[in-house]
Amino acid sequence: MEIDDIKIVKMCQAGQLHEFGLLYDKYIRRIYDFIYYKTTHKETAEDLTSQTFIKALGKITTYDSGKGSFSSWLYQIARNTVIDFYRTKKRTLNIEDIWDLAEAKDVDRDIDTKMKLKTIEKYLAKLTSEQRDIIIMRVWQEMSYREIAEVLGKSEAACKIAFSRVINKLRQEMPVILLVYLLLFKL
Amino acid sequence: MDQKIKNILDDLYRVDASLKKHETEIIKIINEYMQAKPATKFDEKFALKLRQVILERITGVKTKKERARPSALFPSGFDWLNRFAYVLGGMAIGLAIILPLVTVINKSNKNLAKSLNAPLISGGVKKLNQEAFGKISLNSSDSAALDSTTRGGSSGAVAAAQGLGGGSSESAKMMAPGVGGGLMPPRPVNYQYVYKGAEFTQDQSSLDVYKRVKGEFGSKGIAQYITGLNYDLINLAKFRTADTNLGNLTLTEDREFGYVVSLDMLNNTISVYANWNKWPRPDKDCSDEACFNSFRLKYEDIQSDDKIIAIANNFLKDYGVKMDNYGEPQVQNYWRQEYERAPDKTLVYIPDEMTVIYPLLINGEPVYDESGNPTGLTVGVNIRYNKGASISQIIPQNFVSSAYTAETDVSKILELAKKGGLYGEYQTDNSGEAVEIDLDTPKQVLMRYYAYDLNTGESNELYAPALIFPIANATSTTLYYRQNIIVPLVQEIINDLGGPVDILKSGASSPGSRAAGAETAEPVKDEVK
Repeated sequence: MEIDDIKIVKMCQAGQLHEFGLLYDKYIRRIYDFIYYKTTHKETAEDLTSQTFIKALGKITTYDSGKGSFSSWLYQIARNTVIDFYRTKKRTLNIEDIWDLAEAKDVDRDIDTKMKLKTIEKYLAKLTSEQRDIIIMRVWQEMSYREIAEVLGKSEAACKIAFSRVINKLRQEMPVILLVYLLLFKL
Repeated sequence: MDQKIKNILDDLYRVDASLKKHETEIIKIINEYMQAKPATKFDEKFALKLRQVILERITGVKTKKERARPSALFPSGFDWLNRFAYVLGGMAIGLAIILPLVTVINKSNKNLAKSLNAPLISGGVKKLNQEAFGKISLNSSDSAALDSTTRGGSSGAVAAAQGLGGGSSESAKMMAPGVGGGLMPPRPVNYQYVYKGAEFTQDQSSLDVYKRVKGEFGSKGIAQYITGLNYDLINLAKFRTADTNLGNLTLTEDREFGYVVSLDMLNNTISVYANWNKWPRPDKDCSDEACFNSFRLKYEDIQSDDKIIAIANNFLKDYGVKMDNYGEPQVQNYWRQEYERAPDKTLVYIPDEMTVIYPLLINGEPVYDESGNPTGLTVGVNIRYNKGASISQIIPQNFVSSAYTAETDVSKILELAKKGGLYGEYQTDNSGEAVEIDLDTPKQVLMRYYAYDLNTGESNELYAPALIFPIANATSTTLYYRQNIIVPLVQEIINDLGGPVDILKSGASSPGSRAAGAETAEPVKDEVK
């Protein structure tokens, strides 16, 4: 049965907080994955996911359905939680997620994930945090532009344009990869 | 082409059609990123653990790091349930045993638990519009006369069985082995009620009827937790929907003199009773009557009412049971009446457990059941071990009230009282012995009853204003067990009463109306005053 987010949130706001469990069940995996993509470290992702849901629970009365969907609100909290985490770690730098620290040695990352991302890592690192989030949400989490727009606080059109620019930039940045790919697969 | 890639491309081309000429490259890039998507190592155990943390925050439970004893998930008014923290396995309903938590919880949002608990535990009475409960007669179907077999609510059936002053129910009691001193079945008796009290009036044209409000009682949240457990035997997650509630919950103490706590989440009642497997039974090895008799309690073993009440009070205090809105306790001494009336007292069974009743008070008015007995919280006291053995009817006291038209004709009220009150009195034929029962001056109380709606199948717990007529000469009458006659004051209830069947009375073929002055076969409805 599809969970009606707005209905559940209204019940929570009316004092029936135990209904929050339904929202938790629906979004725990997605939020955790999103945070993992931005941290690439299991324990950090778990910690920040916990913080996200606890913050969401504490702030549930402030959620306004007129300003966007519950999922995008939750994603915003998750995104901000990750930003706060890394800025706390590296106060002198404008750090928003692990990709801004790709070359750093003193941050935790899962080795196998690091290896898998090796090919695209340096290209992702050149993107802005917002552009990376669009890649993560559109390509890895298959979110709609409407949802992405609500999370980033932008219009849908702006998100589409931003994504097309990212793709264009990557196309220009990744010629070596393409060459290898084309040579290997003769396409 | 993969549909996901196609969707991404379609969006891109709508924004920038010039990208189409680079389609091959773009497909490769998107494919590359899709292939590079890392496995996130999502851990179900982490998710369950976090869920538990969330649930505990919602119910305001402290973590094991914050408190020495196991925490519990019950609302603040029922903290005493934390005592029952030793759960037998099996169900793994680990609400009384909380696993140690790894994550340190933010200590803010203490009001969360309060805001959840407030609707349930706050108590009090909320006033609604006149006749807000709709039909409140005992049988709310317009076409059916009163029929005890169709009434919902357990006390309805119980009330119909107990409290009748004569006839077959008394005969059966007297014939039971060890009960009543082994008397032979008595001749039929017709009890005739005579009012001997002072003059009284009932001038209020409308009186408040109360309805107990049942809350959610945490059943949804607990159901959500349970359906998140992994048993590998069945996928409980399939039941995790917004419509799933926990109906009943039982906690069992696996220790000597342990207790069982039963929570009826749907009816919002909590009961405690002895885990009999863990209470010593001196006669457990007996195989003959002589052995059993040797362990039977004797009359002199029974303590005074004051001492029994003191044990009950201590039991309630020990477990922190909230005692707001309960009247003075009294010991139910029906067994004493039998003992005193029995010719052979050695045959009278003396119970191991005495019942103390704490009458419920709603807006200061005591509550009685349909048989005219005080009703409310009951505590069982085990006489053999001088220990509290049970507590019944622990309820959150949230009520709504609504005014209903009241009967102001005292003659009509007295007529009903003389006929035996709410359910009347079965009358045998004229050969039965006539016994006069004196009724004393009444006082106004609330009568708890269950209004069963035949159309919906639901039973509403209601408390209607009524008059209680004490029996003035009960102790001097051999077989009479009632202590009071109760007469409702709400016109709708009175008008909808059927009557007792006049057994063997000539000309009687159907229940007659007991509305004052009416001798017709059909119940009188909507009598205009």
